[in-house]
Amino acid sequence: MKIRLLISAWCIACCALLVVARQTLAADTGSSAIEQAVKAAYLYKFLGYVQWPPGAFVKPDAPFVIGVAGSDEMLAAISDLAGHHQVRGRPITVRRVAAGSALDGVHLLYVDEQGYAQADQLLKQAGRKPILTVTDGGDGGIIRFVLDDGRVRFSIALGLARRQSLVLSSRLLSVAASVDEGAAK
Amino acid sequence: MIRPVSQSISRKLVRVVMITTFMALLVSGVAMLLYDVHASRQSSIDDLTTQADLLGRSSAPALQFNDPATARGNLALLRVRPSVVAAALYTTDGRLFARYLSDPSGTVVLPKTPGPPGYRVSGNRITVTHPIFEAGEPVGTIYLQARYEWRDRLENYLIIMAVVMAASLAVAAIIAVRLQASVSRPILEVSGVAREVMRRRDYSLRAHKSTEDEVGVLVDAFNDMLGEVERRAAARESANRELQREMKERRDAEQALRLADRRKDEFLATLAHELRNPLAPLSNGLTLLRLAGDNPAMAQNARDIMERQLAQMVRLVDDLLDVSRISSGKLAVKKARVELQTVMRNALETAGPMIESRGHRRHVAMPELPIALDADATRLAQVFSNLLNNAAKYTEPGGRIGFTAESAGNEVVVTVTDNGIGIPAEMLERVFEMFAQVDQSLERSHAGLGVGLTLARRLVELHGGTLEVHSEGAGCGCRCVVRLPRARDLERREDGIAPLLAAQPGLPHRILLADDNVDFATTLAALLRRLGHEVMVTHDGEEALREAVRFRPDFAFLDIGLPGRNGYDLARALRLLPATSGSTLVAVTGWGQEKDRRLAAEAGFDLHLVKPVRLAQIVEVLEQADS
Repeated sequence: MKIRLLISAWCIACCALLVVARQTLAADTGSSAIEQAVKAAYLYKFLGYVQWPPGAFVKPDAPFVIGVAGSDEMLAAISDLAGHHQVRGRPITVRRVAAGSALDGVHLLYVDEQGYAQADQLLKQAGRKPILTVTDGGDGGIIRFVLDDGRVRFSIALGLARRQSLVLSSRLLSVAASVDEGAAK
Repeated sequence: MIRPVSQSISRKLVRVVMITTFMALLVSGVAMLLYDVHASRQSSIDDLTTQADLLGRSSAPALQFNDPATARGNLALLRVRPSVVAAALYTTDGRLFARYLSDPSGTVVLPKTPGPPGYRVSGNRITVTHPIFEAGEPVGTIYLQARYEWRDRLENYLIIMAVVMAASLAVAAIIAVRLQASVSRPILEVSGVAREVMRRRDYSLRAHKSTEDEVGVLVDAFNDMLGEVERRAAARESANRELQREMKERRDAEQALRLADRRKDEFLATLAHELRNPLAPLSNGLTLLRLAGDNPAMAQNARDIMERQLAQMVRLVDDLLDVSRISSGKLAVKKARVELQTVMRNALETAGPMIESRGHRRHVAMPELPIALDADATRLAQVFSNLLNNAAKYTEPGGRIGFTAESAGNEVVVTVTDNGIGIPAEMLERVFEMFAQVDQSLERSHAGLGVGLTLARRLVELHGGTLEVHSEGAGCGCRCVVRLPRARDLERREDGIAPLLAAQPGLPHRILLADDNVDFATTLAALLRRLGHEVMVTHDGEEALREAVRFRPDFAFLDIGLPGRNGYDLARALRLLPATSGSTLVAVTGWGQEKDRRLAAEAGFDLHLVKPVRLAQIVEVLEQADS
């Protein structure tokens, strides 16, 4: 257990190093690959600041399930991290989702609104479940990635979260670029 | 020597209390100080660590989501804690993420990379490096640096401690001064008494016991010791006094003995001189008698001379005997009713030849009425004749001798005066001392043994009177005053002893004389025969016994030192014989001691006469038998 923790810590350190390196690099190049890596890392970090309602997990050690509706590069970036990652003692599984597919068991749904045509439908589908929706390039999710002076940041729609029975840590709110009570469109 | 008390016990007690209090305060103060320094340091560290933890926790999202502005805002909250001078957040890869300086223009330097986790105290700074975890994953490190004001704290603490200590010591001093009295006062009292005792040497002082503790025991023991010392000192003092008194007595006795010895030597010299003086005239008288032949005038002259010298010698020896009696306290007077005038006339008869031989005029005055005295006529006459002889002796020839008597109330005062050489004032009292003479030189012109006045005074005192000698000084004459008590009534007057041979003869008696002194016995026998008595004379014991059986005497005068059979044996034998058992037996002896009288009485004698026996004594014995 201890060893596992150490290994994971080491991995995170490596990733973070990588992310920072890329981010710094991206400021000049505007490379979307680095941006995607940072966003992928953020997804994992969001898991630590959100509380799901009790019925969201079938077992105490049931894995976090991340659904991805976006480009293949993004899916790969997220999946890369899932293998070595645990959050609150839970393993993480990543799967591709699409509009119309069952969202049961999904805890976090990443939707690339620019790259995915049926994003609205998918978000609507998730809007009735306790699913943390994270959107990129749109304003339909609870958490929305924004670029602030070349840096990846995020805004939070607290009203949406509340409606989906999710509790977001105030500490997460403190680093958000903006927090609004905004209801879903 | 008493040394002054250099350090009083009360001061010592106070000092002990003060030092004890001071040490206790110091130890407890230092312990508390050490504890406080340690505790404050620990609490500072804990405080800072807690702050680091809180800040780290709240800054974790900022680190995770790369939001330095929020992180700086979090750190800026430290403004409310001025003791924190610097803070910094580092990412997990050791990059400085956000920082805070309380004084941006200050000299505080932040480390480039975070050190190992934990705290460090150096100088007046505490630094804490604290890792930040979020959801079990390390997200970065927080670094805090705070002032550690242990010096100020220590300074404050020391000031407080000093103030508290000073106040405590002051209170302790007040209490100690109050309380030490209960311990030190009894001790001080004892030491004060001891000091007084040493200073005044007064062992009657006592310490007052005021407590029942060890000091009380000390006081008791001290008082007991004082009592003991006092007793011993008193005993020693009384012993000393006793010793001094004894030494004085001894010195006085020695002085007296030496004086007596000297007097005795003088007396012996005088005695030899006086006894030898008559021998030459006697010898001359004998020669004259032998040469006189038929010259009766010459023979008569020689006899007169010899009689006078003999009388002088007899008087000397009589005096000697009286001296012996005075010395042994055996001088006694036999009192009877006598007439003063008779006694005075007897004295004049005795002293007359002396007065006339010196060619003195005499002035005699007596009361016309007879004055009765209870006195020993012989002894009283001896006193008067002695005074008259002295007056005649110590007055140049042709002087004037007064002899007067007068009645004064219950007393009769007899005065003998002369206009002779007198007595120096300093000798007036000493003339009554035995063997004392005004002129100490052997070549003095006036003979005498120096016992006359002593004897006279003693005899007068035995009669209940006084004898005083007055003199205005040398050359002014002398006045001797004899005061005698008068007999109570004249009616009971009894016959005095009349002049013996002139008196009417009494009843004739048969008298046995036994004495080996043939002359004495023969002359006495002749005298007694003249008085009409029948006398038998024997010269040894055996003869006396034989004659007594035949002669059947009424009186037997027996010498004790008889040859053949001594007086005691003879008396015992006579008492056993029927012919003499009723006779009056009289011992005649040269020994007049009490022992001799007792021996005589035991042998059967009725009376005891001491030699030389005068006819008067024998006549007296016979007359008493008559009456």
